[in-house]
Amino acid sequence: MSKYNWDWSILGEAPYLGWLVTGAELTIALSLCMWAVAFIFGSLIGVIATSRNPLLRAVATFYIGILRNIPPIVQLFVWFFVVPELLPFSWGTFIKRDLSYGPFWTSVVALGLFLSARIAEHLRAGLDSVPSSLVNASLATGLRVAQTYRYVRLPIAYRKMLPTLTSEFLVCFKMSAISMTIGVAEISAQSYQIESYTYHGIEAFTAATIFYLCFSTVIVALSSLIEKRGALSK
Amino acid sequence: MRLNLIASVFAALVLLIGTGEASELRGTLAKIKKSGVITVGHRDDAVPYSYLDEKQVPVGYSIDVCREIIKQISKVVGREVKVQYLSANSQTRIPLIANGTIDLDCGNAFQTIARMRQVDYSIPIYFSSERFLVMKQSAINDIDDLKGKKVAVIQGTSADKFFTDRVASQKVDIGLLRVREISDGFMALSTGRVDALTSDDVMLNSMIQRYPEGKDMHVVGKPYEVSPLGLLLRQDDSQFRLVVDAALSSQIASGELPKMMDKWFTSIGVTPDPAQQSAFRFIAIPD
Repeated sequence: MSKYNWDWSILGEAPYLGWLVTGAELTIALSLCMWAVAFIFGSLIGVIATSRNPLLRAVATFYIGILRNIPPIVQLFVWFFVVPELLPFSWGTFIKRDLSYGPFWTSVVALGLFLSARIAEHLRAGLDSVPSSLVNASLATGLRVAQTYRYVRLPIAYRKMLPTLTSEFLVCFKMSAISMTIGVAEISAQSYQIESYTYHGIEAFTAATIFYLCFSTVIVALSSLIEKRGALSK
Repeated sequence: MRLNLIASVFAALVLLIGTGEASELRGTLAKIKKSGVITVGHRDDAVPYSYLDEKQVPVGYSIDVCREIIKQISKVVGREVKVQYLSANSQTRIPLIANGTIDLDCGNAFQTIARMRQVDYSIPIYFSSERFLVMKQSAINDIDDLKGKKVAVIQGTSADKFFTDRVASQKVDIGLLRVREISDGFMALSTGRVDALTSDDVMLNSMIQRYPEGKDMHVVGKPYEVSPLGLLLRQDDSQFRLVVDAALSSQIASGELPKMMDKWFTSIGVTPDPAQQSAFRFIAIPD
């Protein structure tokens, strides 16, 4: 049987190399924006989830329950296709027509919020792991509840969570590829594009794989560096 | 008449293949003779070329064309050949052909020189015309009316290449939305996200037929690009390719292929372009 005609030189050719580079840039930009959304909303909901107010706790449980249990690709389609139809007409039209890089921002919101539910759950566990004696002691020194979060509970929880946050960021990084289903030209989409122009798909996807692997390795290395510096003294 | 033709094609094939030392079957044909099975790649959603019907059975124009080719293959290898269908999308079909899993891909692959470096094509089975699907109330009638408008293209199609190249070189002022499937493009058009969806006019018409939203839409414009669609074969297997092309030529010459085209395309309101019919007269290779 004849075999696949490997041609690695295709990856260095114009315009394919350029596509891979812009795809990689977009993947990184998208991951960072998604992470910002995930971290901010995750922290907010995580704190609410440990509140003493049962109503607030219920809100957080609901948020986590909905966002964590629906497959991210379904959420992305809901945000992309359904949400603009539910909004007032002019808002919907703005999102659909006038917002530049619409699919990009939709992905940032949709996938960022999905990840925020996961982070919220981790943070809730992290906050719960702070000994209650420590919380009581800080309240006894005259700190308000908000201040105990700010000065005592959150710094301890985040440090404990660092390895978890690293793997969540890696999830975030890899999940950015889902955005190609709504037309974001990130690196997986660009590989797909190269494959349909040239039929050299395996080479293009290998290049994308190596990019994902290298970037992830760098993140893991950075994170372990931070972990060493910021470790809680035992 | 038809029997005569098939018989004469068969005779021609026997002559072509059966002379001298070349009588031994090689490559794909040898594999099919040995196993008695041919693996055919099909698409799931390329209506009306190659798709799964309600019973999840592959059907369509390309599948019908292939069925006739496989009859010829059976004659050449001298035994009844069983057809094994394998769903292959545009990303999986090339590796599957190259590694020997798929023998013949019966979908709607458009032909380009860049792709021919990796895979062989049969003679064309159709010439797809790229046109636009728009809302009936819009004022868009052709490509010139799209200035400043948004257009959905399906990733990896010839339309995608056409517009991506032109937008990149700033020849046209059009906002592109790249969608993964024709159904996503259709949804983008029906929700007002884009002003037009561009693709093969046959597929666009099939969308109008299949979905109720289609009643407010129509296909407009002169074809801005025409691409030949062919069946995909492994490279370096001229013996197999000869059988496939000969079978196709005889289907064209006998009028069977235009008949199949009518059956699949008129049912969705597409009248194949008269130019299409004359093109076929030219591509059919005489015995």
